[in-house]
Amino acid sequence: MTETKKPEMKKISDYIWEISPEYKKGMNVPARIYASKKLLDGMDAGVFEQVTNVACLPGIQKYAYCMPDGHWGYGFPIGGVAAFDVDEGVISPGGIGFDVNCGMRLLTTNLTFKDVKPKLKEAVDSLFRQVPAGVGCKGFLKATKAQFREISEVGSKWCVENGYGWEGDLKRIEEHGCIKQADFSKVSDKAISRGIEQLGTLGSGNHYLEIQIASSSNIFDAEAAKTMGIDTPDQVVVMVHCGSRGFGHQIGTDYLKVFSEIMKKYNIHVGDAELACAPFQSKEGQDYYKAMACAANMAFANRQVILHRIREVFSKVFGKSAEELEMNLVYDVAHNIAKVEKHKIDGKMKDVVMHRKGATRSFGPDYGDLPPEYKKIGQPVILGGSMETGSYLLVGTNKAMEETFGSTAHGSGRTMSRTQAKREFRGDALQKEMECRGIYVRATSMAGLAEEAGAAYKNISDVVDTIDKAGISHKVVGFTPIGNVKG
Amino acid sequence: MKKYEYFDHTADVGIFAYGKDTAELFRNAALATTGQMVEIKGVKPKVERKISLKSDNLEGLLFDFLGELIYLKDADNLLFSKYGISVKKVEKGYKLSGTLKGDRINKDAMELLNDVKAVTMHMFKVEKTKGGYKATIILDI
Repeated sequence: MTETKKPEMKKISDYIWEISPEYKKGMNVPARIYASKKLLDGMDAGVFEQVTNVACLPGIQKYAYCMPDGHWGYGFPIGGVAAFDVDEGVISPGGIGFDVNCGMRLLTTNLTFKDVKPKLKEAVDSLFRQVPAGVGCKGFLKATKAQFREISEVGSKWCVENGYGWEGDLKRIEEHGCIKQADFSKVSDKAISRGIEQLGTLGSGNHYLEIQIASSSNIFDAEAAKTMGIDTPDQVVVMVHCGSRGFGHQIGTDYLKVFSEIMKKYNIHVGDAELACAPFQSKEGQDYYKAMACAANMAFANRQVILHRIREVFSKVFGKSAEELEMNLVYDVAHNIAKVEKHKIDGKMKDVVMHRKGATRSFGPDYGDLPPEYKKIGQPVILGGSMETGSYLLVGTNKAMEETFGSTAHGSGRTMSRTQAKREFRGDALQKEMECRGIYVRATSMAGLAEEAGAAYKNISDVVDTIDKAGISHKVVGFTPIGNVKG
Repeated sequence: MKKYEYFDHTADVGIFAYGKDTAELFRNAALATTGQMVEIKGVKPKVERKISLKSDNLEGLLFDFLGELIYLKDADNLLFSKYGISVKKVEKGYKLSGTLKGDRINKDAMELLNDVKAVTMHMFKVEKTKGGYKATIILDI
């Protein structure tokens, strides 16, 4: 893929680059890359090939987008965003990813670095035990099939009703933790048996649970930070990155096969078999949407159960209740998902099937399902960085609503392959080095740890500065890691 | 002949698998896929599982076979190191049948690696070569 020549790009602004529909036969709209010149130059050629393949899909609106953390993926590029007409457009598992509703969750504490430092190892070791990670891990929540059905159809709400969370958590989750179109009858038995024992597990790859601090020098908008509960120097927060586990992976696999077999019937041709899709209003398209919504709800529930475990661990380690520790959820955002959303196109509000694959919703103030306290500042946007460098909290903007269907980046984005990272780093040496630098890491696999080395990723500050300066998100707080549980 | 090799993909893992015939190609693709999840040498052939799959074409059959290994890892907690399979052309496509041997996932006895999520269709290909067959596979990690 890397030998492919990059297409000619028209500079729209310092942070927007456009590929004309002339570039590839079949492109229905231009493609737009959001990136600084430096990030654009560093992107692999797969990004341009894949984003222009997306531009060829039926019913696509305005542009096919790639965000600044974009890189070569499968189907859509990672960082890919596209909106499709609900009547004329399609839905594609390759625009969502197998890990449906992989996403980020952030919670505050009222502890500071000084409070946590003496007990950091105890806290990380306990989290490592209580939130299972890695190949074959099983969760502590043993759901019956009937319960799993309910979880898949109502998401985080089931967890809160069953003692795994607080009522106030729900309003601080994208879609309030439940995509209502979920229909469990559209899910295969294989997907159920893959996922039923995995609630409360992290998985592996780039998934993690991290203890971080917000130092004063990393606060960029004190007012917005305070609104989100971050108002003390060196305040400790906890960030979680994971998704729908084997349940979502199997739903993606099942429907990718269905779609690849029926495209001929709908006269759809795609540039990459992974972009297999179906008209959104077709029976197959609707079946997938309803099954995918089940996976999305399972992921919301998975992160909710993990939040509950984190509250339990902190309460035990620091000798106070989670309420006393003010372990409030800041927000939970999906970054691998398709949903029906209302957006303005040619001056009129219309329903579109939004696909975000490695991209985050970035709704501005007064849009969507935001709780009252966030209506002034916009939707919290959580960008997870590498385990060595740091992460960011931003907010969505009205400009994102106008320009990118309310979408932004999702993390740092990889620059180095996993195999290359394993050639360059050793997990055990990295673990020791990180500990010397004040980051205590527990991992299920040393090879897996090496793959996640900070140098395998783009500089997250470059990504954050791009989306901030392009105006599609507004930078609020940067976080520094101090403890990490890696899957 | 090499059994398989991994190639660089930015976020996931690429595999070229080889075989002098289709059964060997499938075995080597299975080894490469399982080799992403565990160090194969630590997977003892203690548990057997019969397998039988059909597809219209070879690519579809390989996609389903590798998908089945990933499914069994989550659903039954099994990883396999021996793939006693045959791949035959039948009236309407291809059929795979045989016995897989492996063990239940045990983090104390095995060196576990990455939890492979799925086989993607991006670049997925089975082709006839001079010496036999070659498959190109990208796994979602």
